[in-house]
Amino acid sequence: MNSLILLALSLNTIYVHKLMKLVNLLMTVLLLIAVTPSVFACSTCMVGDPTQSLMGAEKPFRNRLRVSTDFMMRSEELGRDGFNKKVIDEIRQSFNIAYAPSSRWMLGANVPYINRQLESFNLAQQEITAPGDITFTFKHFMQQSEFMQKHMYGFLGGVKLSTAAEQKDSNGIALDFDVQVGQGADVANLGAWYAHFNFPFLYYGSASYHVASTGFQEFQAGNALVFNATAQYATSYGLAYYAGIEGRSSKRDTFSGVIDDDSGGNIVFLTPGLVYTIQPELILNVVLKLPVVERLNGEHEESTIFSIGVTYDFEIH
Amino acid sequence: MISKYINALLLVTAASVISSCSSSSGSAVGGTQVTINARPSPAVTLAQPAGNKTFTNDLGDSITLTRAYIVISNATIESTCGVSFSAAAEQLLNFIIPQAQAHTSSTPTSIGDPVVVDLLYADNESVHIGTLSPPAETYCGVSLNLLAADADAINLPEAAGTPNMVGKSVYIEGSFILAGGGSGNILISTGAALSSRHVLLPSLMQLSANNLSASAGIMFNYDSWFNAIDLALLETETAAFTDLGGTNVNQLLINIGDSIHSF
Repeated sequence: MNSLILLALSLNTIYVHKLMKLVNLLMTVLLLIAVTPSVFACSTCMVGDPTQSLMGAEKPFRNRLRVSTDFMMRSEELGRDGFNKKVIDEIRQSFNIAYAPSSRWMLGANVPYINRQLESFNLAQQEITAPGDITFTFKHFMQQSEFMQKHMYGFLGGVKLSTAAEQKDSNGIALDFDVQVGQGADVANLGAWYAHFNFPFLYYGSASYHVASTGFQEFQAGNALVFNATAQYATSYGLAYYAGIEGRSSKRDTFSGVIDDDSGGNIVFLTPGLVYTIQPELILNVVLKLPVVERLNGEHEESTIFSIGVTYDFEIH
Repeated sequence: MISKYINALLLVTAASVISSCSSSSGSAVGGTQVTINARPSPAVTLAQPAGNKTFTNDLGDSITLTRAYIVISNATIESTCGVSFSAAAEQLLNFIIPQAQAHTSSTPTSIGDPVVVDLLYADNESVHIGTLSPPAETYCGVSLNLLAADADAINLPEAAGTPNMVGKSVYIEGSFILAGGGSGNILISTGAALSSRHVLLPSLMQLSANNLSASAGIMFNYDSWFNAIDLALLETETAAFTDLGGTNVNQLLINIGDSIHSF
């Protein structure tokens, strides 16, 4: 009898351990789905869930703390070849922290460190390496159940503050707006999210609307709707693959009240990625974002985005 | 136990990375630069210093210019110089549009600000027309428009006794002595828009990361302006005003266009 009890306890321990790995994996997947918002040529040009850190397939428990860092590479082309074309290459290292003051709320902050290089049609080059705008996010969980619920939903939102300084050249002249790591504008967003979990599958979707204030050089970003939908499949408790779409639909930007014809429009990325558990609290993620639908206004192209990062969990006592 | 080490390692790493990321820097490196210059440059006569220019035309008449201004309203460097461009470059100007125009749009390959060129500068001394920062390509020619200056034109003459060039594309003042005897005065003042002039560069201008700067030069062979012109009749055609219908006025404006070459 004692042997049976010990066996049951042992199996239970194994089960709990695997369950915790699974939950951790799922949480990370949702964290990754909420990809770091990217400051593109305009302050609301981004794709993905605007919240920085989500707490996954379960409601967050009080005092949960999560940190992560992501490395991202992308490029963008604006303007007409041989006339006013600009090519922008961006490398971004983001530092994210998320904290759950209760099981209903998740609060997050994102601090990016950005290198942007711009080459114009005339081979003029500009480069900035500096901290970007700081973003604060929130995510609200509306469901009542406290553990392993299949359906989760709520509101999300945040604000990107114009904390990045406008960079200037040695003569004190502001560098091109498109090479700035921040836009000098505050950007607020509000939206909703939904997740459904049915192991080994996880489905997630969210949408949010972005509105920006006036930024550097009298830049006014067009309002933008950002959305995503992702399906994830876990082959084990330590490895999961996911694929989805992330999109943006935005209005044209203006400079000093003049419409920028090479701005706004619609773009959709296909986002395959994977998540790997290095160890229970440390998880690796890799994602590609392939532009599959580009209906951007004027002369404007965005490249494939590559991102890799790690996430680590803490619990504050 | 391992987690504690990882926690500590991550915290130290994060702290060091964040501290190293607190700095910021910005830099700018200029791109391509093409300067366009223009200069008086006699085709036959010896180069002369600044001031009145005296030369002889193909009929043996002696001409002295005491004022000579031409307005370049637009200069565009061309990357395509196909058959049509080359043909246009070699074609004599054969018509004049009697209509004044002001500024045109500037682009990376085109200067749209009108510039008044004083042909009494020292021969072969260049006047700066403008600077472009065009795409890095290979350029083969320059297209010029000679239109009337507006009030914002560059190098408008301001000294006492100089003409008001606003509304004018060509102003020439001087005198002549005919080979067969007799003399007279020259006064050409018009806002006529001359036909576009296309000139091939003496060699291809290749702009690249290794060759960001170049220049294109335009010269006026002013000593050919009065070739094949009856100066006595020209004086008659310009006695009251510059009559664009006058045969000799028309020939003079054609000669001016044809006198433009690159260097």
